Amino acid sequence: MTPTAPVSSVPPLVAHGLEKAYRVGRGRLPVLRGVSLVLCSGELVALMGASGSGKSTLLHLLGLMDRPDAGEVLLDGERVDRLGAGAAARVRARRIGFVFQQFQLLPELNALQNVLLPRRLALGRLWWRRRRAETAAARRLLEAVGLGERLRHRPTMLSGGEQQRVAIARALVSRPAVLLADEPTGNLDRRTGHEVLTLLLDLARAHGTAVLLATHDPAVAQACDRVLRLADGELVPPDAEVAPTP
Amino acid sequence: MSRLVLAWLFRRPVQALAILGVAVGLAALLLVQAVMNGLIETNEAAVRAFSGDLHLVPAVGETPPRWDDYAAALADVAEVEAAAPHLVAHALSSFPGWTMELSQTGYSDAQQVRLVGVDPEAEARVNRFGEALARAEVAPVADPSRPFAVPPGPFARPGLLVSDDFARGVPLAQGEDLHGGKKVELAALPWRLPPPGERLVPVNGVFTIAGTYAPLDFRTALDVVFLERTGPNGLHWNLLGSEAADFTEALLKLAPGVSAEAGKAAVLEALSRAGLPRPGGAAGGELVTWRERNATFLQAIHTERRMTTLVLSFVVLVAAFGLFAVLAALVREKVRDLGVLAACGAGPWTRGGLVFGLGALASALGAALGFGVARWLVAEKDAVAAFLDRRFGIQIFPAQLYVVDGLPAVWNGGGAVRLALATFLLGLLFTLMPALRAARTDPVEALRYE
Repeated sequence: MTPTAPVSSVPPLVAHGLEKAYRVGRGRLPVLRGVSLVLCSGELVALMGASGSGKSTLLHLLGLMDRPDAGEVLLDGERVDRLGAGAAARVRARRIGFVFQQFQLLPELNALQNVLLPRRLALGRLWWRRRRAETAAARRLLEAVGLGERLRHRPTMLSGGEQQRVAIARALVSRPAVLLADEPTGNLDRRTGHEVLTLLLDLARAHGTAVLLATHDPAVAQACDRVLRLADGELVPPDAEVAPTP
Repeated sequence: MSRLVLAWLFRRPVQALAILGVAVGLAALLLVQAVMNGLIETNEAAVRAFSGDLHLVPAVGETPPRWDDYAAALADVAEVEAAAPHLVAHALSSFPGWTMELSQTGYSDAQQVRLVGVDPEAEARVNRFGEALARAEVAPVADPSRPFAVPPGPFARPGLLVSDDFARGVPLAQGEDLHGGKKVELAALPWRLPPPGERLVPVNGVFTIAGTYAPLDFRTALDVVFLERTGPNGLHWNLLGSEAADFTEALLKLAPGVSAEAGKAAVLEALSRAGLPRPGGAAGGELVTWRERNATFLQAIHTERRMTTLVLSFVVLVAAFGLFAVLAALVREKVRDLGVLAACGAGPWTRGGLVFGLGALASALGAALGFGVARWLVAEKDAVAAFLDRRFGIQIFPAQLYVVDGLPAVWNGGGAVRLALATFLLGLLFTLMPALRAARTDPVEALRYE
């Protein structure tokens, strides 16, 4: 386990007044209406809300996979929401980790290769000089998630829980400032989900990574430091009444 | 990433088939090119066999041209290494005792022949006449320096040479062979046609087959008969008469390093100095290279090569379309993985580059494979031709139709590399669109894709 990273005074992730609407026919369907939030280093924040409330859209905007119609995203104090696709990808490779509900591992690569993918993309030509050190780090991370014996196994040879552990290792291999997780336990049984969640939160704390975790599950939210509720595209106070999760 | 490219490339057999398609298209193109090169080389060598570097057809003035005048004019021309006169006439051939019944088209005893009177020594200096004698199969002459010599006797007739192919059709009695002085009858047209309305009287003569020659030029295979040009046994004396010209064309061999244009200029100047008419003017005649003389024939083969190249280029084009289809399907199929790559930090250039690299690899593999297969087949052409004949009874160039030894194929390394490179570039071109699509994949949409 790596030691806890030093906490910076600048919050790793800040969002101001994020708005997003999608074109539907001739009209526009607003999904986010002025969402603002701050994530501090090492903070674990749950994002709850009903289906269609805009959780995934918010994660995509914060992860620079999509651009907001209005508002801004600051990563370590630097505004990043207007970056071009290439620059945004470089930022993602180095400073943002993703964990998805469907694991999203590349089936042609084994566990170790999947974990190394963000590093390979982040380092470009430098990869060939640093590949031994990077491979060693990825091995350690896979050992930390309990898959030290399954480095060469492809995703089809791993269980759902194991695949999500590989995905967590992949998300953390670049020691990102922010980890965005979209229903990471949604495809797992309760026991496995609990194990994976515990592992994710432990590792994130150890790395000093701020985590924003979208979930329907109150038990998952309880394990986090703080809970944000999203309803009709807006963040609502914690004690406000929101529509029940379907 | 290279592992990912390879895994995607060989994900399905159809993708390997796309590579194979490019390879087969290119191999077919290169093979046909090589065979056409071989045919061109074979045909040029055949045409060249009985040609000189230059062909001089004298202009005809009031008096028929005389070879002595031309020989004297050319003797001091440094650019001309050797000159050989030809006296050409046209005749029907038959055999003594047979009837030449020209009104019956089904009657085939008479065969049209082209009589070429030559000076054997001079002829051997300007072309491969000596080789043709040496390679004769049916009845090689005993003494190549005296090829028209026949066994002496009271009934001896002037000797002539027919091709091996002609000789194979000569009717022989039981126990008779061509070394025994087989007689042949020739009815030649006069050297100058009479005015319209007057009777055309051919001149008949009986000759002896002195031997055969190998038809190095397939066009001489059946209808060219060589005999002495002048002298008591010559064409001039025996069939055309003393008033006829004693040569109708001359084959000139240029000195080493002399260009055709320089040779032509020197010959024209020498003729002018000697007061001989300039060929190519109102009095007719010409001075041309062997290529110009056979331009139509040679051009036809080159045109054939261009046409086959064009047609087979479409095969390569279709193969490139196949590659495009496979890559486009792959991008559609792997759209979710492209989204994952984007989430992990792959920008549009990286995603597009991945698919482009994949297409480039497929193109390169296809081009290399096609090049290698074609090179191997050309190197093993005789074994391949023998195998096709033995196993499937396929003769690529049947001996009855083509006078070629085996399968003619000449590998043009430079041209083959250019075609392989063009195939590779074509593959890259067809890779651009799928690569662009991969680059423009929306990561959010891609991750939603199931």
